[in-house]
Amino acid sequence: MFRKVLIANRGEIACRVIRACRELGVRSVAIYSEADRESLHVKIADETICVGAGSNGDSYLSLGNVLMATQISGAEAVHPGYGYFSERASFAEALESLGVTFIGPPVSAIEAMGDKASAKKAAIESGCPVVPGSAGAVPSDSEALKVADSIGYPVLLKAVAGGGGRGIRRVNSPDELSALWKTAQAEAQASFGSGEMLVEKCVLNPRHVEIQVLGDAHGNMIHLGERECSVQNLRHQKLLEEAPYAEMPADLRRRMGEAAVKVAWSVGYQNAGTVEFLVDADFNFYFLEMNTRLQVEHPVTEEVTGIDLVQLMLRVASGEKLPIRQEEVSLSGHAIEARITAQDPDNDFAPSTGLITMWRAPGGRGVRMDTHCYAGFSVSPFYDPMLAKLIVVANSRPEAVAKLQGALHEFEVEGIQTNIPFLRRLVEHPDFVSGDLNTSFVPKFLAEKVHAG
Amino acid sequence: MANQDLELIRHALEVARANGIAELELEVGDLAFSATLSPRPAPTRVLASAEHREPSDGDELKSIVSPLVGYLNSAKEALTVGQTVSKGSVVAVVSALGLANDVECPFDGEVVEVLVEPDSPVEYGQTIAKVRVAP
Repeated sequence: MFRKVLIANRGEIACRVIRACRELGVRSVAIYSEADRESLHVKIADETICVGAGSNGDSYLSLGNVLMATQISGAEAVHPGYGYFSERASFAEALESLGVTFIGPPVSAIEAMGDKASAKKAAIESGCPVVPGSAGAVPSDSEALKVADSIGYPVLLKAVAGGGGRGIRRVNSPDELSALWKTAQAEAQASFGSGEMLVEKCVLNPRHVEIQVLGDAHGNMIHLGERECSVQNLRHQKLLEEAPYAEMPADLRRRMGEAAVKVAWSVGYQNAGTVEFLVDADFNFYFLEMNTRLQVEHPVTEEVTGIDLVQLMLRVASGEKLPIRQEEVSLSGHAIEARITAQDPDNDFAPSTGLITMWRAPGGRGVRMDTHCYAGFSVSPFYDPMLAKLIVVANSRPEAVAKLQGALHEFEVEGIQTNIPFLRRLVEHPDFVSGDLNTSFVPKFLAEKVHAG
Repeated sequence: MANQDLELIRHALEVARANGIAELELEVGDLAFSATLSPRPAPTRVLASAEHREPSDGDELKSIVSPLVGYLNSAKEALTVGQTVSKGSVVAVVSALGLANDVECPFDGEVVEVLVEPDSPVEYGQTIAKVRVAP
């Protein structure tokens, strides 16, 4: 096992990794920006190094400062968390050149899954079902029209380098394709520096279901079941995530798990990763993409499998064999995570910043809080607005829903606006309570114009 | 995906060296990189920021801080207590990733305390020396 690990991230995920380090007897090094000086991750780490002023580009994304912090600290490995450098092959390569272990997959696997076209190619080659569409990037709107005619409308135009819901347009009929092609391509060019576009069949009201995989350096790979992440906002950002997907037939879970392992295996994957799928109303599943990092919603998998994913990431990165076999993985109970953000639901979810004057977090059996916030901490405008993850676990989905409703009822934050009032209404909605969910749930919910009383 | 960041920096450095360029500033998406290529003259001026004003005996003390993470090396002469420094003079060099970055003094004054030994690591914003600012 490593003696010392640097965490190249901030906020709740940095706290999460620091805790795993401490439990394994590993010294942790936190990096921080001057704006984050008072963040919990700085307070609980064994060592700290300031890497810049406020903005991401000047601090957490300053490659030189992060690499030098690694070198100065003497850390043997770096955990990238999610976001930031976590999916940048160049960062992993730079660490390698310093003789430092990147806690994540090999560079070649990051690259293979780096864009939607090559990821889809890998999925097809490993025999995994994919959404029907163009084999790769489509050169022009007239070509896109031909593809769309052959697969049938509605179709999606998607940026090859895309992510975060940008550079995607739904096309319902041939006459609107050309105009939408131009806007999607312009957006892709502006967001990702590449205007390459794919055409795919639009799966109507799908569920977003993902499979957690974990591999070691000795050729062992397992999956840890699924997470259901259909409750997403209008920007395709996840709000609530669950494990397991309550309605999922056992046979489908097995087939999706095997498909995920096969895809990951085919690109020589190691460490933790997530294969994302769309599942339609008839339980057909289609490969969407693979995230080559730890995900925000990993705690729900931990709660139903009893497996500490971050500890295992550290262990397999240090060369240990996976301590569990596939047949030893079993799911028990039901977990739901709610992402608490500093966004004002009554003001179009505008980011809210400033001093947290009161922070009363929920507690009790089966309630887990992953956060870097506390009363007296100031939320700065530089970073992602996520404040905390509230995770509940109970024996069944109805019990977990009741627990989540109660926990959100208890959760009080003052000084800044949060999405807590919005989440309270969301988890009371009959469709959420019944579990009758797909990706159209939140748009529909917002259209119902349920305002806070 | 910015997979080419490092390659790009390496390539840019090679081109810069080949053409005798002394200063280099690169921005790739949200990644900013600047470098001074030694041993050429006219290096990049990396400004140190002054902070922590501490009045002591009526004099104003200001700090020279490191503008980046790296290892501190002496400029032409090592900083010493009693040394007179002037605004814009190079008072230290911070080495990072094999590149030397000059640290400029942001004010005129006299060094009253040196806090970092040469060849020691420094973090961003770390005080290198304290200066009694000339009135």
